[in-house]
Amino acid sequence: MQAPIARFLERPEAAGEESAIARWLRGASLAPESRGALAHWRTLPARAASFAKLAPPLPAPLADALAHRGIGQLYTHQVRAIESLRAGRDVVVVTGTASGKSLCYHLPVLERLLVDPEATALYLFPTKALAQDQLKSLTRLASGHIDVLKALRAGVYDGDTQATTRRRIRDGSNLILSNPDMLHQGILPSHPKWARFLRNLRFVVVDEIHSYRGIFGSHVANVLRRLERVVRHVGGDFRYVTCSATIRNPGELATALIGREAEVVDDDGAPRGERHFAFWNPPFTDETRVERRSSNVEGSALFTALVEHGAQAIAFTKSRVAAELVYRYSHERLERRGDDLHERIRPYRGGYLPEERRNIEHALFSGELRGVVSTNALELGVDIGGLDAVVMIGAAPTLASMWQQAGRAGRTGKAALAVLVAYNETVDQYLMRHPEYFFGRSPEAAIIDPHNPYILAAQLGCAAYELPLDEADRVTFGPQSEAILAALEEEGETRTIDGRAYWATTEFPAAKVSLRTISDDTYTIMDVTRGNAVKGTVDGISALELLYPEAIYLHEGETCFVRELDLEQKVAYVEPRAVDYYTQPVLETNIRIRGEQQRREWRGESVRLGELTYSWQTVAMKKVKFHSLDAIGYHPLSLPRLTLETTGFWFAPGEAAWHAVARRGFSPIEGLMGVRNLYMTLLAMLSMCDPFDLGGMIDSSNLGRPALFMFDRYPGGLGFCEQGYARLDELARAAHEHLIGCDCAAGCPACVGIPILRVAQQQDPDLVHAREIPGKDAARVLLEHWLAEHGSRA
Amino acid sequence: MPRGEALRARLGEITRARRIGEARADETGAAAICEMAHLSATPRAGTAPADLPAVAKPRRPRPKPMRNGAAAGAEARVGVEAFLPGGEWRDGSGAVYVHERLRSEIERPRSHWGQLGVPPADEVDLVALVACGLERALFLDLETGGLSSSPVFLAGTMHWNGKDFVIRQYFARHYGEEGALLRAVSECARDFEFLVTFNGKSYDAPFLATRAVIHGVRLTLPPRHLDLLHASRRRWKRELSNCRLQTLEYHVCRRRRVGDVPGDEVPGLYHDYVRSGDPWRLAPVFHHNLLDVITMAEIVRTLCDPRRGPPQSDPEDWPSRPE
Repeated sequence: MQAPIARFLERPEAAGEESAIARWLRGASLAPESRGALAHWRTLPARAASFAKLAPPLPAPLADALAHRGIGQLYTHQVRAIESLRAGRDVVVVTGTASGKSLCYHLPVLERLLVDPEATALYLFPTKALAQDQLKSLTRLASGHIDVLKALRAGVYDGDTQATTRRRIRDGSNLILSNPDMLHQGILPSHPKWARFLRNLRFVVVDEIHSYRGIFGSHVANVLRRLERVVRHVGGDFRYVTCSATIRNPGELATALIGREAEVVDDDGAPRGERHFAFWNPPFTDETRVERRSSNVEGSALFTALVEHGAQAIAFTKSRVAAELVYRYSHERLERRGDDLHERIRPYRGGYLPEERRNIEHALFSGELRGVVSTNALELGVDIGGLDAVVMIGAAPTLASMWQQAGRAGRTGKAALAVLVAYNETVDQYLMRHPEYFFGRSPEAAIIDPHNPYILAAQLGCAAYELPLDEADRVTFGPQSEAILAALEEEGETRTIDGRAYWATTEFPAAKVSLRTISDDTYTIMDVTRGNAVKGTVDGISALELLYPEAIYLHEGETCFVRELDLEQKVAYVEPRAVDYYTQPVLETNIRIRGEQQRREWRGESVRLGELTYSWQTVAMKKVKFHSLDAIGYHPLSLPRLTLETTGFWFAPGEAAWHAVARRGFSPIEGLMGVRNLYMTLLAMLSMCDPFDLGGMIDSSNLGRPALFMFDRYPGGLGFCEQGYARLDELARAAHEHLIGCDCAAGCPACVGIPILRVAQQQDPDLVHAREIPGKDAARVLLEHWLAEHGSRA
Repeated sequence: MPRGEALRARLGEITRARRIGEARADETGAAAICEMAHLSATPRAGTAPADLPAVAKPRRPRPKPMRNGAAAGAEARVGVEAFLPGGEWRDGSGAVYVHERLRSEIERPRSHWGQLGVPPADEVDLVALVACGLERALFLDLETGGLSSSPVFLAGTMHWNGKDFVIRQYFARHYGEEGALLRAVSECARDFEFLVTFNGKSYDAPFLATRAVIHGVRLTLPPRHLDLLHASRRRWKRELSNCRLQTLEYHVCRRRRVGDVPGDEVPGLYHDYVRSGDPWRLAPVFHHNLLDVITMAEIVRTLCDPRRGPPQSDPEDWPSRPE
């Protein structure tokens, strides 16, 4: 089913006229049982559409095709993007969700394909689902006029493409939708076979560039440089169209990613209805004011009430377990109504079978589904149409993601509602008390470092395999490449003859280089009661936290008992079983020093750089009753320990530092925790990675007293902590500046607050208890003590 | 990323010596970093006093990379010439080594070498080849670095000059000579009507085309292509367990090979040669390539003789290798 055309024609509601659901929520907050729950309410004003005229206009067939979709005029940002591309500039489009961003590339691409039958275009998306989704919307647009449809020969070329179709797409298509991983391992290494496509390449579209951050982004930047050089080699030349969600530095990110200056197009001309934000803090359960009502239950109550009031809504949760739980609670609630509304909500998350996910997306788009409970899997731009309301149960780990999630609400020009439901947890509770933290700060920057020596070494090998590297390439890949090529030469991987470096081994370098940090080993979940039918999949790391023997695995709200986890075959055998509890893994993490490479005296402390083993293990499971969250059982488990062998630096603050903090009446251990949290953020900036690429732990078991460990979250390490070790002074100064520059009184998530310790994919955030933010002063005194130490820098 | 310890250590040195702030001081990024960290009031990261590691490690003296045989000139004690007498083919952009000899220098000449019988009428390509004459056919066999994007380093060709078979081997003494190898083969192929290969339709011809794109060479191959694998399969698939070239050689040419290099080791030997400049371990590869083109000529002759089938006698009695 297609979106009703009316959606494009709707007018913004008159200002001040609050939508029915927003009115309802205000009313509900006044009910006695919800007293004090509404922590904050904010309304962002509506904005009228702003259109522009394209000169010269689009070719008639394309304009007709657009009109057929109900689009008669173009927004200002669309016109600017098209005009810049026509003038031969590379662009980065940064506009809101549902602002017609994809037309910024579909239109110029189709315009070119109409006049030049040889021309080709490449679309890159971070996920396979997005490629499929965009193929659909592109075909829909093109089918509006026969000439456009004839000019377009589009195909998805990714890991799911059948071997037989691959060749046909490679040799016959003029628009290919793929992902960076496929470009890296499947297209570039056999570029001579792609010569026709690459020689005629006119546009490369890189959508959702904000997801190319940290290690992944640094790899992708190099993959794009490899693309550019093979295209140049066969005489092609193309423009980049990149798109980003709102982040702090879209222009900088795009420029770093594509290696060219990108023009920022951010004058969003799409109309926007009023947007209401409500911050909802589940009330305390009793007068002791310690426990709050379950946020999953509270969130599901809000979500179902919104659906019952006619809103199409989405609930975002922080983990897969939470998505299942909230869905289950919501389903139960709606079932009691006695109609079929409970059948019109679904859960959505990674691990479901792809066709199941496509069905849900489709049903949501068509309006058949009234609500979805999702993980962040629906945060990325799969087109599900605009919704009326979003309930965020727990704050997403970054402000950028929170805005992205909230942006899912809002049909063109209509009022939208976003509710943030807090867990009784540090960051969420901070946001409830300080809403300006969300509204006043610009979202995080996305940082990449294409010149990272470890990443560059891997990428230069791949590049040399594709074409020998010459002088010009040393400019393309940056000043580091000279030294790195020399190292590769020493290792015997490349060989330089007459100034050109050739790949000199029989190995296929791209096979060893994965762009992403997540492993590709996947467990299959089979239902023993249905002849081992495949129920879903889960990644290798999560399997041990989700599918241990006797675990209750939640799938579409249904409780499944795990009979067996076969680690060899990577299969979990489950059977549906009606129980009134779910299970939670109890994890134990550990850090061990494997070897010391270097040691330096730094401002009174002895800091080491070396090899570390970070490991974690599911040691037990807890059985937890639905709704009440009562713990009803605890069973030890024996599962393999997962390890990350990496590089890091560590030190145990000496007595002088310890006393300096204690003397001022602060807790030294709190100070060290604050420093750890600060270092996570600042080392990420200093070494140009994402905070998710780093780990930090306070541990006493290695050195006999509390020590700070910082390490790279990447096998073998990628040099982030090596940078930190070499620049301890800068790190400490930056941390101190950052701390005293922060406006908060006693510490907040932006300074000494809780860093991203681990992406708790499999945990129910409802069971995590609030921890205090470590004291700001303790960390400040500790840093000041170090910075005042002299004579030990050499 | 399982890589050598030495490489990791070197990358570590590069990493620790890096000053990202400095390197980017003039880029927009540095400003953004400072702003993010609320550092705008302080000097940029890069201008802070140097914060050197306590142990100022001297840079590891790097061993001089060994130069390869071809480039090393006088330094090379034994060059490829010792195994493969010949000279250079040159054009404006490079050179490739060429070895040329007659088949009669390798085995006792036979009067039937140049004679082709009457091929079965349904073997269209074979009939066409016989019709236009053996002189118009170029036999070709490649030795490559294995993977699709690895170099072709040896191209063996053979043609009939009316009296004898002329064998040429084009050998790239390093990766940089591959372009010249492709141009030399192209030049040679221009004079022929037929390309004769064994599995060349799926392997040799597309491989050359791929490499030609990489080197920007305009590749010309003879207009028609006879792939003996397909004709052989049609003829012998019932009698023989498989139709690999070596199997056919055994049954059709009654020749067995000794001291041959397993095919999957060949690419590694070439990379070793480029690194060390010492060709002795490649010598069997040259020989192997030579036998392959000769065997192709024998297969063509056998296919044109409907009476000849796979032999019945004991192969143990046959000579192991023509000398």
